[in-house]
Amino acid sequence: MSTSIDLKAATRTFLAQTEGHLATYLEGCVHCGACADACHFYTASGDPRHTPAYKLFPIAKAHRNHKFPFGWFGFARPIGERDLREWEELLFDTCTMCGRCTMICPMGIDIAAIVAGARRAFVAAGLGPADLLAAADSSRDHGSPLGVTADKLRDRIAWIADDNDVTIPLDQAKADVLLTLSSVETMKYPQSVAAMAKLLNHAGVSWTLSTKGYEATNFGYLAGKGAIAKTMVERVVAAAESVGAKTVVIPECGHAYGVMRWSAAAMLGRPLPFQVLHISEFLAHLMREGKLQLTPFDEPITYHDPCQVSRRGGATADAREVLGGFARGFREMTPTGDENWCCGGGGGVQAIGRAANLRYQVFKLKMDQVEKSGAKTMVSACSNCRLTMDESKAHWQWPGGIDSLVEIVADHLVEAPRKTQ
Amino acid sequence: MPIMTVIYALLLYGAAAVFGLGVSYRVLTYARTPAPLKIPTMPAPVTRTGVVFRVAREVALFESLFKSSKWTWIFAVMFHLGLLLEVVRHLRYFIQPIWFWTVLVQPFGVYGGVVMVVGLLGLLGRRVLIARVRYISQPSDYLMLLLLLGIGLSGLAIKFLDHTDIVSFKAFVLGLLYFDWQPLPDSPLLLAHLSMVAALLIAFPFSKLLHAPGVFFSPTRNQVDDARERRHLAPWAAQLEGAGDEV
Repeated sequence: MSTSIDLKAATRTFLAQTEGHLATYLEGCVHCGACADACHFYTASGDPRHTPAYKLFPIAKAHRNHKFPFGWFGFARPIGERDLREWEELLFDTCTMCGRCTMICPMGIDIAAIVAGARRAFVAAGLGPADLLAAADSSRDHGSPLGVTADKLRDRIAWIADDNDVTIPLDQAKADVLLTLSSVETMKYPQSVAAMAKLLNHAGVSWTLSTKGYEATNFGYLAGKGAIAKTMVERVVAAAESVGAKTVVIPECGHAYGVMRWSAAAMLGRPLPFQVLHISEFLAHLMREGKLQLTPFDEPITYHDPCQVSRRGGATADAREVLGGFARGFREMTPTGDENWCCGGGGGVQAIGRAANLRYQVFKLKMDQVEKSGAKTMVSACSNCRLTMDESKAHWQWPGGIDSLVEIVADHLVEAPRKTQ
Repeated sequence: MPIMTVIYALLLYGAAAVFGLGVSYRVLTYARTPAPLKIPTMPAPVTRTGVVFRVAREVALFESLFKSSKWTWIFAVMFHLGLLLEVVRHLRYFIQPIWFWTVLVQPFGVYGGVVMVVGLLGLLGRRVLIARVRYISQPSDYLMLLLLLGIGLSGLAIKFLDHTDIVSFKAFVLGLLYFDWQPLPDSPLLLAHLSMVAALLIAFPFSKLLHAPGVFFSPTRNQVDDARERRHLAPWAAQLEGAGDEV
């Protein structure tokens, strides 16, 4: 990492953000600190620096210094290098932008959005965790944060299709549905890719993957690099337009859904020419249409809500509808749904190596929730949650099971033989 | 005209002007900067009427704060409710003849002052005693609490310890309103009370006290949950799209 910090660029970027609606938030915060109890990082660490409101201090300071008379008369100090150095860790490592704090904020402050804005300023100043920024650059240069180029995707898909004895259409000329992938699935959970293919084939959906736009994750967004964020969106839109897709399905990836479903049109500067559905929503649609025949499943399982799918996505009910169709042992953990605890690795935190220990601490909340629910397995609809939780599980040698929604559904398709566990 | 009357008349005019203009400017800014996205926290109302009720519950009952922290909620409600009673009660100095409901709250108003001070002490105690809250507290957080405490305590002292001639004080206030200045009663407690009120009015548009108008503009609370039915388009984004079409 470079040692020179571009303070002017940081200040400029901070102020460009507070020209908009963020000023209302920054001026409205009463520093009551209620958000601390809603934050998994504070709850796990007990460190007052992890209070969500505290993470907003640098951007608030820049705003006060330039917009309020305290600054004009010299009472409010400008942000300095020390501010940026201290808060770099707080803004990148200790916030998954899960939005749980906003649920209980008396002023309804969207802290996650301000953190996203503040990250852009840190990146403009030449700061930010090297591994997260590299993941963003790799997305731009190679098509995916984990270096899955179009060629590598072809190889990988051929191997997954062969290994799982399933047809995976790639680069079909026309299709109703464009499926995108998270490179976490492509590289680490290939079974998820096979499972989605089995489900879509079973339901008779006209679908394809495309080498023009296959990566669902958007590390440009997570790393605070706006130009890369836009490029990633444009690739998927180009792919969808070329096959004439009416629907783009986002795989088990939380922020991919949030970015494409809610922010993409604003980045693109025009309405999306297709509807965006998360795979859990799409499966719920198929189930309502009677296109999924499933065998009952009696093992006690529970559902971990990915923050960008449930709380910030609005698709809280869909995964439950799908599970309700066959999982007779389903039970909720407490708290659940929109108030569920975060996995600890969203918002790019999973890609930050130095944050590993903090993520493990956060997972203790999840272990406790699952144990109290009596479930043997926790199902998630986000491969980033899954990867975070799998790593934490290994760290604590936790005996609980962690599985994916699409895999557990695909394993119970009537025609498919059950996977032996 | 006593010099104190002139000084306080000018101070109060100035404070009222800063408060009025400052808050109007801020509110205009809030109203003109629409949220770029639909971001209501779920579960959110699906109709405009539902949103009115949601914001009303936030403003009148502090619903979100109740969900997050009962103790903070109790002290916050005590302070804000006490302050509201006091403000209504003080209307009697500004209007003639006094409205009947303003007369009605007069006996409760006294308790309002006590409740408000207890609430403020609770909020201050929490800020000082809870380590994590102390850590995120800035000087202005304490200053606002102390200022409000000073206003409350000096007001109670005027009521119970050193009663001011409220008839001539009312004449002074009405004189300010009608630009026909009357002498201000000579009472150190009253002068202290008024100075702190003026300071609060001046600080209002530049401090976290802006949360009062700000809460109405919180997009996570004042938006309708209809993002799936219709696309949200902020005016500035609509302009960008128009430009994009021409290219």
